[in-house]
Amino acid sequence: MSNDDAKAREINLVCMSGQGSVQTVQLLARAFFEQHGMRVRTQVAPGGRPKSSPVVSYLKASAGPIAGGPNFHPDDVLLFWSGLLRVAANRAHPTVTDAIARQRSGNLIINSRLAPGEIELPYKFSGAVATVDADSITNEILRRDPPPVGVTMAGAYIAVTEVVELDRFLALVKERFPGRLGEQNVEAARRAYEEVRIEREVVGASQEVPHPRGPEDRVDPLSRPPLPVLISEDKGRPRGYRGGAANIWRTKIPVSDDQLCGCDNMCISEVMCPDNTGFIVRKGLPHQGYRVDVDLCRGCGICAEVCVYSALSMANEEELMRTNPTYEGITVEPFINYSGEGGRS
Amino acid sequence: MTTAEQAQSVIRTGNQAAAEGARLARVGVVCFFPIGPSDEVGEHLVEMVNRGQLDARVIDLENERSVINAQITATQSGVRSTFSTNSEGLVFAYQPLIWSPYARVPIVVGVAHRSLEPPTNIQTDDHDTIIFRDSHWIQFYCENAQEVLDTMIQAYWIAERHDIQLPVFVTWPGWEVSHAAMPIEVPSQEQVDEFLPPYELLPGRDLLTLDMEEFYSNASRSGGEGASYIEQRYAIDHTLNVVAKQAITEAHERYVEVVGRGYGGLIESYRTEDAEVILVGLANMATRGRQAADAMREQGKRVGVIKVRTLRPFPSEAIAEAVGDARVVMAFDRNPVHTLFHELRSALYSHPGRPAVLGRVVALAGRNFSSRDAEELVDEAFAAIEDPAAVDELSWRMETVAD
Repeated sequence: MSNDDAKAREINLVCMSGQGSVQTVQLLARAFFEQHGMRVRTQVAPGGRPKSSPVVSYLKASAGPIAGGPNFHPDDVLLFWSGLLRVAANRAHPTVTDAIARQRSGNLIINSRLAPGEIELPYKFSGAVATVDADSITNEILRRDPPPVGVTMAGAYIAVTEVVELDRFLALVKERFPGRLGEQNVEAARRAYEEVRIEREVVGASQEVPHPRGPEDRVDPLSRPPLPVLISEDKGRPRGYRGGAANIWRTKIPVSDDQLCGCDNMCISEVMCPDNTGFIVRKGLPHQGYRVDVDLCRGCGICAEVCVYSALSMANEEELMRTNPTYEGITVEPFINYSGEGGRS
Repeated sequence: MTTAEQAQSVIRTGNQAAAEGARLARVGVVCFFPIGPSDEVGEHLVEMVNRGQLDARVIDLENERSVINAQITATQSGVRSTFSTNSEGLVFAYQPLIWSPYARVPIVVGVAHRSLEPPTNIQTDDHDTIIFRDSHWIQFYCENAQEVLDTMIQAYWIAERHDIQLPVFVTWPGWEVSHAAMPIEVPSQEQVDEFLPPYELLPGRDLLTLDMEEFYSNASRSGGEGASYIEQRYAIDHTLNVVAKQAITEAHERYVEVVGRGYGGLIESYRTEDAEVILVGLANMATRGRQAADAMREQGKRVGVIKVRTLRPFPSEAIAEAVGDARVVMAFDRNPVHTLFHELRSALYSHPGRPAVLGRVVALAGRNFSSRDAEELVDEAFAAIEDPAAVDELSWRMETVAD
């Protein structure tokens, strides 16, 4: 790394696609450039093709010259979804792990209902942690679900760091999104600016998360890669626990009323599922029923929409997990049985 | 950054810069078919047309193949056009894309690189235009948004010159440049107008005024167009490898004169004068190379970098001159067919001193390639000076070390 780059301030915005980090990082870049005359570079790393995959946006700002590309030494990290902490800790997604778990100090701003003290940091970190319930704020004002929280998170970020002036930043937001959309975003950012909760000296866990594609992870490229493990080998974990599958970001999950489930041959919900995660189970249950792979279901609700007998309904997952943490009646094990026996009929 | 610099600059991504370049070139037809990451270029151009900043006709068709055909037709009728696509879009339009250099249609196509499928991937590497290496397209590889803008304007000048008449790819890495914002300077319309004359068809090539009956009669009396196939191919090859090389250098010099900014013509060398090891890369692979070179120079190791701006025509002479007495030349190849490695081998085979040429396939599909990774590869290059047999000539870098 060249010396010039070491002096640059690096900010990583980590989100699921659709949450708005790409637009936000450009607005922040303009703010640094116009308010301080700093040189800026942004970059975007999309997580993958399907919707609802992680996206990381990087920003470097410096008074001196800077080279392109992130150096992965973030001073500030903005987490648009708190579940990504677990993804990083489990090294479930290399780009996300790099973007989050290599922050050792600085500011960590998390979109969460919890207070900063209640957040468990599963990797080595000491610095400021701030939380803001950006989902609720944005949802209330923009009435969109899932809410695009980018500008809201930027409001919280500015409250924590004061690196740019809020009003001048919000003027840029209005310029980028003319009309009502801009005003709503500005309102959301102002609320986040006021409501953010900060704890300045937080110490995380002691262990470091190793680099996800370091030399110790080297695989023999000529051997066939193992099939992806969709359920954990770890039997100690509750069944159906979402162990950090990186492409899941949902609020709802389909629940089947097995008594109503009536199509004998072809299940239209099974056909329509965009991720092939839902399927009819005909063996081993008192009555046939619709089950999903909870590691992959995106909660889009298409299955419930098309179900001929209206046997499927979408339930709020957070509420459901309080009474049914094992996803009894929603998922079956094994989720995908390559031997052709069991779960999938 | 000084206040004066700041006043002239605006924040733009690579895609926005490409759109600005096409606008300043006064394109008359904006072709559009969406595919990420390059669809933003079309979106920005359509916005410009809607806002009245650009007087152009927007044509959106059902697929990339039709779009390229529309671009060819527009260009043959004397109208400058623009279109950007990538990966599967380019492959889909393979037939008209191959047709255009041999029909001498000077279209300019922007490409924000994306890896070819399968497996499904939307990340970036060079492979999608590397597959057009053997088709007499002129290919530019740009490192950042500023270079995309400047190259886009130069591309029209080069392509449309009456002694060239060949199509040009202007490419930049997807996401890493296409969605990467930085302050850039946008030249004024007057400056661009001074540099770039309006598009004029080659005399006798204007299909709207051509006497078709006479044309076909002449063609059939002379044994058909196909009778001069080998002569036509020779003319195209000569044009690409001799005339276009001079034209690219000339375009660059003229652009520097008018706008005051340049990238060294065919190649851009960095600290190569006394270098023992020279790294060669396209686009932003050169950025990583420069970072590594700076770090290695601090340790007293003499490392230089050559950024190859045009893969076709391949600047063999310029590279040989910049390599000079260097002992090892290492290519950072961002494609699975290690093209740059082979190109360098052919270019340096007859070079006095004949340096060892090593190839390293890196950063495919957006895989992390840190400056520390580049430094480790440079160490391998220095090991090759001691004992060439101990180091692989060609290898793939898959794992990465933290910065």
